[in-house]
Amino acid sequence: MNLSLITQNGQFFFHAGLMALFIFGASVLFTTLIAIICGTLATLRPAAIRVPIRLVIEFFRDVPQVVSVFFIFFGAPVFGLQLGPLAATILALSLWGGANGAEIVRGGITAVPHHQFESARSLGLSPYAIFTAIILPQALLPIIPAYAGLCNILMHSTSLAALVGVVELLKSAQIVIDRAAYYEGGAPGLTVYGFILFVYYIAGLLMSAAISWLEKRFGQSRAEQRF
Amino acid sequence: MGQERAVHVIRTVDLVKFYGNVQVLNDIDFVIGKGERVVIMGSSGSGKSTFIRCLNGLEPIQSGNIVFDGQDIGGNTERQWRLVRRRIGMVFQNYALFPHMNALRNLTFAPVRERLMTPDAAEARALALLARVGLADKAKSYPAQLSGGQQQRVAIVRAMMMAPEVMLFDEPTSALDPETVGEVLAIIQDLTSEGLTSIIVTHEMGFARQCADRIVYMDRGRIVEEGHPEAFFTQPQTDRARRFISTHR
Amino acid sequence: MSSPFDWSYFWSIAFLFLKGLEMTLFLAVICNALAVILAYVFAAAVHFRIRVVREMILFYVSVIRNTPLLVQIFFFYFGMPEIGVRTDPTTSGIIVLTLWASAYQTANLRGGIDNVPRALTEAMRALGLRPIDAFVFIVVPVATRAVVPAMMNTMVSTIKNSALLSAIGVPELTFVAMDNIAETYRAIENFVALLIGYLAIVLGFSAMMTSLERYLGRGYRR
Ligand SMILES: Nc1ncnc2c1ncn2[C@@H]1O[C@H](COP(=O)(O)OP(=O)(O)O)[C@@H](O)[C@H]1O
Ligand SMILES: [Mg+2]
Repeated sequence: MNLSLITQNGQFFFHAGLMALFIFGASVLFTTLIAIICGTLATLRPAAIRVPIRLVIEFFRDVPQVVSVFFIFFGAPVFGLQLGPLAATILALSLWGGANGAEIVRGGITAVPHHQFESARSLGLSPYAIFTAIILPQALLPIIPAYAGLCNILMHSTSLAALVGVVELLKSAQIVIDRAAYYEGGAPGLTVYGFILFVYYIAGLLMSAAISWLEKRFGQSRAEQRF
Repeated sequence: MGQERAVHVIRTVDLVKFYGNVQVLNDIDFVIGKGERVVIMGSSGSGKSTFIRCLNGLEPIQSGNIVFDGQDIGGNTERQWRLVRRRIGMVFQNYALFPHMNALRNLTFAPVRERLMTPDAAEARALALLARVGLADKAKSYPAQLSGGQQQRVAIVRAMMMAPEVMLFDEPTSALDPETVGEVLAIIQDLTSEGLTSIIVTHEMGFARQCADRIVYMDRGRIVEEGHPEAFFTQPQTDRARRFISTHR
Repeated sequence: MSSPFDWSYFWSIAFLFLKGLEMTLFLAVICNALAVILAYVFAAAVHFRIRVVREMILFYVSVIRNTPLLVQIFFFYFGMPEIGVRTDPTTSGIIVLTLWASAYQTANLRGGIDNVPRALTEAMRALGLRPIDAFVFIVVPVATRAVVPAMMNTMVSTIKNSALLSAIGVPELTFVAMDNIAETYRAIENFVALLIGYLAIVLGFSAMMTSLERYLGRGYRR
């Protein structure tokens, strides 16, 4: 092991980590927006809205993430959509996350008891108010664990960006190893990839901690609501 | 000692059980003779379940003795307990049938697997027992296809497959619909009528009065009263027992 | 860049895709089968609290589940030769994907085992069953039954994640498509073929699993 590979490239890895964090943050943001919008639309009655959305959702759920990334990076230009590697990755991850998230949101909304709609309507609330103030809050709290699982996958998926050339953690590791391999001994591959695994592992533990904190908080407020 | 072996099947001396820092059994001295039918009563949380679970080693004890068939088994290892449990059958409140096995296999599985019976002998005995509890036609049914009362009847004969010397029943009818309580109690009475030593925890007053040779009344981890059912129900010696009887009538 | 969909080109790559499909199916079957077998072994070792082994398994499961598979693939394929473990891409791929899947399957199984009703475990003890018999014949079937849907989800994920092995040159579906695109720049036909391939596998697998689940469920319902 040659830990100087890590220490000497600290700055480089730090920037790569920020890049990964940026991909993650942007993907989570768009995923959330798409999930809520499409998940809601998918519960609407008109088949003209529901069916195409369900189809697109199913499509992105059944295709490997990395294929979505390649498709958007290499395939989209055919449709006149030219994206750089970073934008393509974020778009692909967001569409993938949005499709899976929409399915989660749809499940949450469907699980809200029907009498909640009816009692809200009987109070004379507008459909918009019913949805945003009554249905959505009830639908979102129970899906936090599933949503957290989705975020966890998205965090790991930031590494896919390396395959289209974004210098995030995995790509930075490749670059450092390529530079090192010629003249330095030790085991650069194990050391540097091991370091990247370690970074992801720590980030994952931090996220798990954040999520269980969230769950505890919202779980409590739910219990309070009930009584 | 030889004399005692013939008379007492199980005997506990100063049995003490803690859950953490909480003492749930306090110096229990208890004796049951061969063929005797003892009903244990007491309000919820008084330690009845804990007590009978100590008798077959499901719960470890902290001090005292458990003498079974003349041998002190209180300090048994889990491996030694396993052999004891084949001689002491137990029936739980919630049936606990194996959901992926039909009734017949629920009965034959343990004795065949542990090589205590040949498959043929086990099946013959199982079918006879099922017939005896009126479930001859349910041998191939899975637990989910049986009613609560039927499941409990299967659980009872499962515990009797290895011809145990003692049977322990922990509130065997508490989870049942009121209509089916009677049928299960009748079966317990029938199966234990031929001198099978049995300890039955139940709140069923009528059953206790009619079938028990002796009532043991527990309160807060102690045996506070015991005696013949007639005496217990008509002239309880303690206030607590008196109140218990009046509320469960 | 290419013109609209070219059917003659599409048919000309069909054979290549069949080879890729074959590799993806091979990976799916072998990795999922090995992973499930390993998961039962691991779950048993954890269940019986085998010293040190238990801690090692729990650590392995936690590391695999908390790090990206793609990094694991690179770590193994480019890192292991440095300590003399040299394997070709396909073998490396099988090893990493199997270990990845078995970590998730172990977690699934452990969840199922922890949720076996206490009443059942007590009944097993009360009947004097040896712990190993109780585990093999009661705990495992009851737990498995409860986690079949989760295990199937993991299997589908494993199939989809085999696409990542294209990054180290395993000639599976995605690799074939990307290889074709690099050579001919005909993206659309290749992506369509790729999508058809994955949809067929994933939907076919789901259908198979649904009928398996129905078969396993017999006797449970009234
Ligand atoms: N596993 C356990 N851990 C801690 N306390 C327990 C446990 N099981 C029972 N207890 C406590 O032991 C006491 C006796 O319980 P139990 O034997 O179940 O009473 P009974 O069967 O008479 O209702 C109760 O106070 C109960 O709360
Ligand atoms: Mg009890």
